[in-house]
Order: sequence, then structure tokens, then C-alpha cells
Amino acid sequence: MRFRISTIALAIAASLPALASAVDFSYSGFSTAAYAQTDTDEAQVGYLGQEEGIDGDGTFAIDSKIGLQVTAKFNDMISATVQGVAYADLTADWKPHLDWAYVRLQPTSNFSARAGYLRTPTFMFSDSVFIGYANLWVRPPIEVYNLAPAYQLRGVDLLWRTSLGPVNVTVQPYYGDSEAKVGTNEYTTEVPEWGGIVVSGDYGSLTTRLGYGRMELGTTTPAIVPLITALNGVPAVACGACASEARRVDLDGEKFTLLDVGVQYDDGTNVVAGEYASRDSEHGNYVMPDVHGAYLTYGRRFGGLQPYATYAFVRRDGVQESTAIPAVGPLAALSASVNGVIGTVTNDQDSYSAGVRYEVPSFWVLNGAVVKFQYDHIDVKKGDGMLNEVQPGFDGSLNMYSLSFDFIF
Amino acid sequence: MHKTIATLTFAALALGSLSATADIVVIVNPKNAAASLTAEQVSAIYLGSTTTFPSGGAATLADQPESAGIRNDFYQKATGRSSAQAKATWARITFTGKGTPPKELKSDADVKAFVAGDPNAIGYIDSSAVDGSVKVALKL
Repeated sequence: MRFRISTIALAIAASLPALASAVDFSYSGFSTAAYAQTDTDEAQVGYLGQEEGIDGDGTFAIDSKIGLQVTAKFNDMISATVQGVAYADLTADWKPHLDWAYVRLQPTSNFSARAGYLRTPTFMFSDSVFIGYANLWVRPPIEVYNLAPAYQLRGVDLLWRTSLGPVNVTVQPYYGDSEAKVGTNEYTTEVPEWGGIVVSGDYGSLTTRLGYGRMELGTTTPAIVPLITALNGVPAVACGACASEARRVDLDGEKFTLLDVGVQYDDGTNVVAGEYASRDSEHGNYVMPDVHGAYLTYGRRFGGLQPYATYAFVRRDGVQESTAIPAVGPLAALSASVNGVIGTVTNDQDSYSAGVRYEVPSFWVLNGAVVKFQYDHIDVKKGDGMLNEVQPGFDGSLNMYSLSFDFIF
Repeated sequence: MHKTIATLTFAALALGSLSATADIVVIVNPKNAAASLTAEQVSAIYLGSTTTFPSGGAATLADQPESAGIRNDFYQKATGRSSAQAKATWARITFTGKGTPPKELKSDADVKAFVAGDPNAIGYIDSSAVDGSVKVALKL
């Protein structure tokens, strides 16, 4: 057996040079170094999936990253790509993550299929949010981009391109499963089933897209397990609503629908990008409530200099308070606990941003580089908005300043 | 005064003739089914929103070096974007695995040889460099 393995290893080693010469390898990479700071320590701006947030202390950890992509092209039909990205995750340490790893089959020039680890095109820039160089903003508006609980799919997608007269159409369905690390106490949320489709059309300067995704979550938030146990422990005769309230605070088995409409206009001088997204749950979930969010960005190019402005909002469509369990009487504590959950999750928020993106001439190994400065003003309208770690006494609004250097190589 | 006007006229003529010699042509292989391409079609190909010629055949793209003036002029005229803007678009396409950016070649002669040697190829060169090995699909 040992002999056989070493024979195989030898055979592989011997064939490697021949294989390497037949395979066309290409390397490329991207990086962002970004600093952000707000004017308060009583709340944090952050993403799902990261331990730290942005507050008055300032941080490089939220938006900074470095990615390297290697593609091996075996022939005109088959290629394999791996993209590793290092960034600060839930452990607050810089760690490499396998962001993409897939095999791509391209039987014709307008059709391809991929299998492996992929980013889903949930929102217009979901699959390229890390490519700061390609994006206008320092970071995409969280009022839309924080609505999806997972971004990485383990599965397959298809990319089909066709044209309807002068309109270039792309159809991209995807299907698979996932797991997402969420919460400030790192735990894994299983996504046992996730599928969707995006249809987009390019006509000259105009791009429009429609995205639909449906995912099922498979993990209960650990901190809520005792509440669910308590709710399910009350006999139905004593509390008719307890079982349905237990269902609504549980993410396990909840199904979410993500709908997205995006429009982008870019005539070379003027850029307009707008997106509307909604997240709806089957049972009217309390932990990830039904919400809708949108943004509109306008930018104008003056040579390599591009100032831009954005307005974004998110609104909760789910309830602000549950009266299903009586707030007085023997079940008052359960009612308060349920409303405690409802009170701290995603709620209404507006944000106003202004920034500038400047193209730096290429130098050294940098194939292209940009510097961006962005100012954001966030107004919480209800509850904690989309902010994290909100302390008592926070007045509901904050200012944030971000500076980034993005490049590709 | 007359002299000034005459000088200005001469300068304008000289500028006009300069830009005339700097005409850019989009070239394809003589076997390409397309008799000609519109600027919109070339723009869609060079900004990655289509991977094929209007006839349906695959397109293999050639680019000029970044240091060459013709590159920025081409993107400006064909797509209405600077070459830097086009590069940002291709960065998005590359890192989402949806395509491969145009192959960067060294000169008009290299682009011409590349297009002459590949039935799927498309490139752009100075009009003065055109010969029978390639077909002009669009004058910019």
C-alpha cells in the first residue's frame, strides 16, 4: 500500500512539469487600506461577520483587506480559480479566508457553469464589495448590504448571456448551501438551503437588474435558546401565543426571501446607482425582522477626480412591539423578554454620505490605484437603527470619516 | 491682425491634420463574419457586457500598452470612458470570475499580428498601420 502511494506520488511529481506547461496560470490581486472613525463611543457601525465596529477610537480593521486570485486555465473550456482574502473577522484577528474556490466550465462563449465556493449576486455589488478599486464608495451602503445574513455560497451557479436586440442580457441562477459566522459571540449559522436568480440587462450606459433569493436558516441564536425553551414550556391553555412567539424568535427553520432591484447609469461623466432591497421572512421573524432598504448615489467625473453623494435608508416592516403575550400578569417576564429581542434588532435608519474618489497614476507593481475620502452622517430613526453596541444615552446620530487607499496588482 | 488670423487658421489646420493622422481603427480577423461593428457594439465588447460578436462568435480582445496614448484615446472614443475607468470595470469582472481582461500587447504591429492570427480576435490600431492581414470593422 505504502509502495503504491509513493508510486502514485512519483507519477504525479513526474507529470507536474508537463501539466504545468499545459496549464495557463494567471495571478492578480487587490487590496484596500482604510481607516475609519466616528464621533461617538456610544455606538458602533459594523458589518455582520466582524467582531469590531467603527467608533470614536478609529480603526483600520473594518475595511482593510488584501486578496490574491490564481486562475489555472486548462483549456478553452475548463478553468479553476482560487481567491483568498485576508481581513479581520469575528475573532478580530487578521486571517486569510477562502472567498472563492471553484471550477468553471465554459462550453460556449456565452454560457458557463461554476461549482465550489462562490459569492452570490444578492445585491448589485455583492460579489465585488471587496474590490474597493472597482467601487465608487469606501463601503457600500449598509442599509442595503447588511440585509443578507450570508454572502458565500457552497454550490453551483450558471451564467448565461444573450441579447435582446440592443440589450445585452445576463441570467445568473445559483443554488447551494452555506454557513455564516454571525454575532459578536462568534457562532455559526447554518444555511441548509439557498437559491436565487439574477437577471440583468445592459443597454448602452444603462444597467438594470432584478435579483431574487430564498434561503433557509438552520441555527437558533444561542443567546435566545433559554427564551425559546421557556416559551415552549408554558402550556397552550395558559398561553395561546407562546408557541407562535417561540417560532418567531427562532432563526432555525426560518425562510427568508431577498428581493433586489438595481439600476446603474454611467455615461463616462455622470454615474447614478440606485438599489431597492427587501427581506421578508415566512413567520415574521423577530430576530431578523422584515425590512426594506434603498439608496441612491450620484457621482460626477472631473478627469481622475470623482465626487459623489449618497442617500440611504432602511425601514423595518416587522412589528415594533408584540402584544401577543399579556404584558401584565404571570407571563409579564416572557412578554418583556420577547420585546427585548424585538427592541434591539435592525430598525429604521437614514444615512447621508459625501465623498471623493481619486485615480492615482499607476506606479511600481500597482496596476491601478485610487484614494477615497468619505463622510457619513447616520440618523437612527427607531430603536438602535442598524448600529451595534448602542449604549444608554446615545443621542441617535453620528458622523463618520473614512479614508481608503485601494489598488489592484 | 490678418497675420494673427492666418497663423491661427494654420494652427487649426495643423491640429486638424494631426488628429486625422491619429485615427484609430478597430480591426478584426478577415474571417470574421461581421462586415462592420458599431461603436456601441465595440463598447459592449470592451467593457465586458458581452463576450461575443453580434454574429454570436466568441470575441478575444487585444489591448495596447497603458503607456501608449492610443489606449486612452480608444476607450474615450469607443466607450466614452477613460482607460482607467475601463480598468476598474475589468477588475470587477476579473475578481468575480466572469471574464478575462483584454490581452495587453506591445504595439500596433503586435496587435495586428494577434488579430491576423486568430479568427476570434479584435483589436485597435492606428489607421496608418492597417494592411491586408486584418479587416477594419470601425473607424473612430
